[in-house]
Amino acid sequence: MVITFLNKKGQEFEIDCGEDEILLQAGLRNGVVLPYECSTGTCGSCKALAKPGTVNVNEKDLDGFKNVKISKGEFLLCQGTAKENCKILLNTDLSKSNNDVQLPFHQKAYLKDFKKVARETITANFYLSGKISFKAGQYIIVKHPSVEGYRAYSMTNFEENSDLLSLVIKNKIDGKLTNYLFDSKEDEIKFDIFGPIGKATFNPLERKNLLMIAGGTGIAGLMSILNHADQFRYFEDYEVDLFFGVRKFEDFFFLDEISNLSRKYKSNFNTYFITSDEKVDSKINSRDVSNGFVHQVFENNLKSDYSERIAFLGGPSKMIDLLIPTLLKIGINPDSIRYDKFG
Amino acid sequence: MGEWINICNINDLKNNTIKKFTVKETEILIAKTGSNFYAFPGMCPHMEEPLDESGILNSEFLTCSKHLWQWDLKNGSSMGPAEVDLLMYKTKVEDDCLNLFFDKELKYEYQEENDDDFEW
Repeated sequence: MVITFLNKKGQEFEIDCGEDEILLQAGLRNGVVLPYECSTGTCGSCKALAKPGTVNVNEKDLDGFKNVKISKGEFLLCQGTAKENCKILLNTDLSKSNNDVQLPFHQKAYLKDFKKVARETITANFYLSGKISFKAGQYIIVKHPSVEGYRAYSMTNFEENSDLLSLVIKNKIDGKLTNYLFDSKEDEIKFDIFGPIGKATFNPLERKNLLMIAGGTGIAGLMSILNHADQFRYFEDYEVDLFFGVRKFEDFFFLDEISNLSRKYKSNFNTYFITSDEKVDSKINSRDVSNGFVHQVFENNLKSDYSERIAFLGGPSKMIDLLIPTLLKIGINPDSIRYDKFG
Repeated sequence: MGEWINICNINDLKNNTIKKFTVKETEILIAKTGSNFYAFPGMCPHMEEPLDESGILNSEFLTCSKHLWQWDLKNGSSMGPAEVDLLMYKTKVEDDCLNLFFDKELKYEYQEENDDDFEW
């Protein structure tokens, strides 16, 4: 099918789209720069308009549909498939990706190497059928035939042109996919994956101190950034302050990896560990574990140079929503606040 | 024909805050930063977020915290990821009263009623 993305400024791109292919994925795969954050129906950033009746809309009960008027032809690109050749109107600028950017694509992948790392939390690796080059901080979306829709997972590793993607997966109470994974007895599970996608990326050439704030498995994408930065020995010259919060002490994971970096880069690598649901006397890296919510502990530990840093956020949408006003008030430039809100 | 309309006493507005007013059935937000007052439509031109809830003031800069679109309130010009300038109403202060020049409701091109006429 032929899909035309256009806006009222006269910018227009025509692409080929597969039968039943998600329109956001079709656009991104063809190099069209489209508005999105989560690509899974949570954030609502990819709202668009089509002539009523030309687009099928999936999973209309997702949070991202809160301000979407489906009867008027509005829908989310990440939940829409075309019924016929059609035009999609957007209210943002439209452009084509740079040639040096790895465009996302569909492929089959096997999830293996399951390892429990904390309460209801595992790490696992995707073995890909085709290599991809992703930027630290990017993510993939994955689909299993037994579960409707895609789910987003950040890579925790960083490797140029990689055929292995490492993930961290939390078992969610109502999570159909994670329930399936945690109940499965199989050694490997086949998925359709699409990626790499995501705009909250790290570029070591930006040469700035970093601020990283994570809640729970939101640490995943930040680990990829830390891995990339470590490969560049970035923290020999630049500082990072890492705030990492979980509910209970037993929920922490990646502590060895973080502690190793902390020992390696000493005063340039500062960590704040936080538990929200219990006070603990234990120390990590000789540092006390703070009690409270991540955004509160962050607000209590503001430094004057934070306004000049690049901030990477990973975690639940609510945590990110609570952090952003503080980051803006202390004067961080919006271009330096990076997150993909799919928690 | 537009006219100047009295909005409020300037002492009713707190510094570095945004307050919503209804002027001739039109929702208008007033931001106060120091001795300056800025008036603009209630919705973010990006995703129709209510800026009295999502807008963050830092000096003369307004940022919608939902998707980080930012504007310089001195002239409404877009900054960073923002792609559309902020539409602004003229204001003036006389005898401690804030006045706003209202001709018609300022609307962004994205707004829904304009989409009804879109030629597919």
